[in-house]
Amino acid sequence: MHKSYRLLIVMIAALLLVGGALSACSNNSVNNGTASTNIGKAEGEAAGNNGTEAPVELTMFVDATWYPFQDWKGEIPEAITKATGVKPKITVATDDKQLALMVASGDLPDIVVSFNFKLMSDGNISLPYNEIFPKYAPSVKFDPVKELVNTVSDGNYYAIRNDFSTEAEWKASPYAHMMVPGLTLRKDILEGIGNPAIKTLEDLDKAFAAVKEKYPDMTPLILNPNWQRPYFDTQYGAAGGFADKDGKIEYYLRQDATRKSMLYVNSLYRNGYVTSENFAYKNESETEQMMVSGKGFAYTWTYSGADRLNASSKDSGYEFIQLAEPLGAEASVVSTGTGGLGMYVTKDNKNVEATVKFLEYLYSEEGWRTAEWGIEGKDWTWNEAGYPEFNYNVQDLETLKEKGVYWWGVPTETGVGMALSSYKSGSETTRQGEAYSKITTFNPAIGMINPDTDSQEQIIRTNIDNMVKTEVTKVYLAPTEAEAVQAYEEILKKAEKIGMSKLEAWATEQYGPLKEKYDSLTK
Amino acid sequence: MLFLLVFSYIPMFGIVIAFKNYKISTGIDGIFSSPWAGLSHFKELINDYNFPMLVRNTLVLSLLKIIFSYPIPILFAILLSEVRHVFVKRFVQTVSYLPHFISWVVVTGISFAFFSSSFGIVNDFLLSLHLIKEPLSILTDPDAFWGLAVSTAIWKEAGWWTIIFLAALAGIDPSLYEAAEMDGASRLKRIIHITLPGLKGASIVVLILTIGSMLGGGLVGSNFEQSMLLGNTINSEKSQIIQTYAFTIGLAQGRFSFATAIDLMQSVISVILIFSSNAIAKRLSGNGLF
Repeated sequence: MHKSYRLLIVMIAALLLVGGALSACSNNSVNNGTASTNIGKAEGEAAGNNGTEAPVELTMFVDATWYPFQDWKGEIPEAITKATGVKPKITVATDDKQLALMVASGDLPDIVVSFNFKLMSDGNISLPYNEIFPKYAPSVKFDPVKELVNTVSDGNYYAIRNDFSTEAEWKASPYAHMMVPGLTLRKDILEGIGNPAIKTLEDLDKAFAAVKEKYPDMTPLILNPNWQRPYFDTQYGAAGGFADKDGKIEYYLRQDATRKSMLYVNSLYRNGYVTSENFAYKNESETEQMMVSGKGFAYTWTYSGADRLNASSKDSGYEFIQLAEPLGAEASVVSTGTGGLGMYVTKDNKNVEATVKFLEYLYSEEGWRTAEWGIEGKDWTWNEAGYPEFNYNVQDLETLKEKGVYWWGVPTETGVGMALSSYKSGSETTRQGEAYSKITTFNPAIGMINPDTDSQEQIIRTNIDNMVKTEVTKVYLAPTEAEAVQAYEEILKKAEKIGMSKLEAWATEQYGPLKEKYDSLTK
Repeated sequence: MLFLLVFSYIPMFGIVIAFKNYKISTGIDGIFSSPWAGLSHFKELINDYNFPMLVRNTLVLSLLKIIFSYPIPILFAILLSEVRHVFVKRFVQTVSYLPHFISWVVVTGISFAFFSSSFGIVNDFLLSLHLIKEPLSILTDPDAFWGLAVSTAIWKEAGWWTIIFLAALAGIDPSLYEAAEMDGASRLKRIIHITLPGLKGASIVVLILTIGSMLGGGLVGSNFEQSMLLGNTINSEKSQIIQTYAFTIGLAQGRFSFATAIDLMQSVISVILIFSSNAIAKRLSGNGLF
């Protein structure tokens, strides 16, 4: 009798625990969906006080493990808080799977800053800008092209992603040069081999050969793991992702330019200019350290590689320069980007009104300039020619951290805004930017072709990309050119088996109407 | 029991998403409301071009670990029990089990410091002795991965498992050794006829547990950690296993249903292995786990 009573009590307790847990989950999701606006109103009234009362605290998750800023501190964040009445409480991701887990568990912060456009642009997770801005900040009008490139299949846009400017904006800002992949060289070593002119890839090979001969302990080329091939892709005119071929879309793998670029990287390995271990590095700080400690002659990164390495090589005294000119007539850049980081207002947001006011400020010209450049007149002045001149070293991360400037402006910066931040007459970044602006064309309609998460096309695309990640090293590390070609053809076969043709057919179908819409707004 | 029910068995209900088209954005409710997908995720896995490679890598790595890691703690325990000097015995035992407390991240860092082709001390040493002309690509050569994984796992865990067998050795009646010694049995004969039979029970239990967790790396475990940390794009054809694939697919791409199907398939294989090994052990020795 006694035993059966105990069993009964245990069973009831277990059921209560489970029932309690489930009901807590369900209550949570219902309330989060509806109560946010009410709370928003109540707290929002307190928020618009221009800093006379305690600021509204909003939780903000930055889905980028590499993000250099970890907290909201410094004179610039304080100025933003004063202007908006909002003080974000920052959490930076510790691994790239964290956001997916947060979404799955339903435990979301007020704001998510993320590159994951497809995941976050979902009515179950985020609030659409086209609903919350007309409600809480009706005066805000976004550029229709920016609205279009951020609109998803449900007809809403959940963010205006950063780093995107329309072609017209780029053309109106002659000092804004789009970020492009770059090759950085050690100046003293270049001089050591006689400062040869490097105008073609053959010249570059000769320079690597000379370095290998004269400095046998030095690696002629170190590849940044995140920027292994883009520089060479650019020299061959290869696009990433989808590419327009006579009005039809083909995946980048199929392009002859991509094949040439992959085989060129293989030749670099076969000639002993790159080590095999370089392809196993996962973190760019490792390769950056190798350059700073004097182990390499050339380094693949972005157009600001030299300026960034110069800033971090103060102690070693090494000087770096960019290989500014494109190497040959084939070099080209097709900008298909539609933006990167977005600031998503989640369904769980506890103060939508204050959040919108905060975003309104950050998207305003005054707001993003303050966040990204600092206080006008004190930290920077506007040159009449049309670019900012800074009173501090914009490449020095320690200075940026101390002021809290730049990185909290990044999520809402425009492409032009970001490019102007890097403009400095005569700097290495600007030298390359000016040279590559001449070979850059625009086609954001391609960047708008994005399969839905979990769709068949998305599965094909990610499966191809995953396959390439592992198979492409077989091309790079093939002992002969013939074997490299064979490995490349093997990749194509595997991609076909996964469904590349199907993906291309779907993308071509999407491309026509998207291009038509885009052209109607821009032409 | 209640703890197990609430925290182990009830969450297992989530396995149902392997048979559904679950979307991460639908949260916990989505587990119940997502549409059924039948066996489509399992079919996709079997048709995946990676599948044969993943199964091969998982099975080979696990088998190699069992073959090489299972006997080592037993042998080591016997050797230690034969050491008469108490200080040496305790010192060796402590040193051998300390690596168990080091995380795999640190072990990977140590591996890089030893085996890197550009700055590893092993390569530097061999080069300085002119034993090799080119540095060995131990960390990137696909053919070196299984050896690297098995040897580092043994280095890290063998000492720890030795404790189990030392405990079993302590349970053997000392009068058996005394009697054997009086009868003139040599040290080797005492090991063969007393120590090894005395370890039989513990060995079988450990073997069954090892086979049950074989796909996770068995006795020394850590298949997942090793594949994630020591694996890279160059050695991936030997380092990618079912678990890392499920992790990448599930969390990096948000395809939780497919990832659950992958893991479920691995769990089913593990259950089959544990029941079969138990049945075989019972038939051969009369001892079993259940």
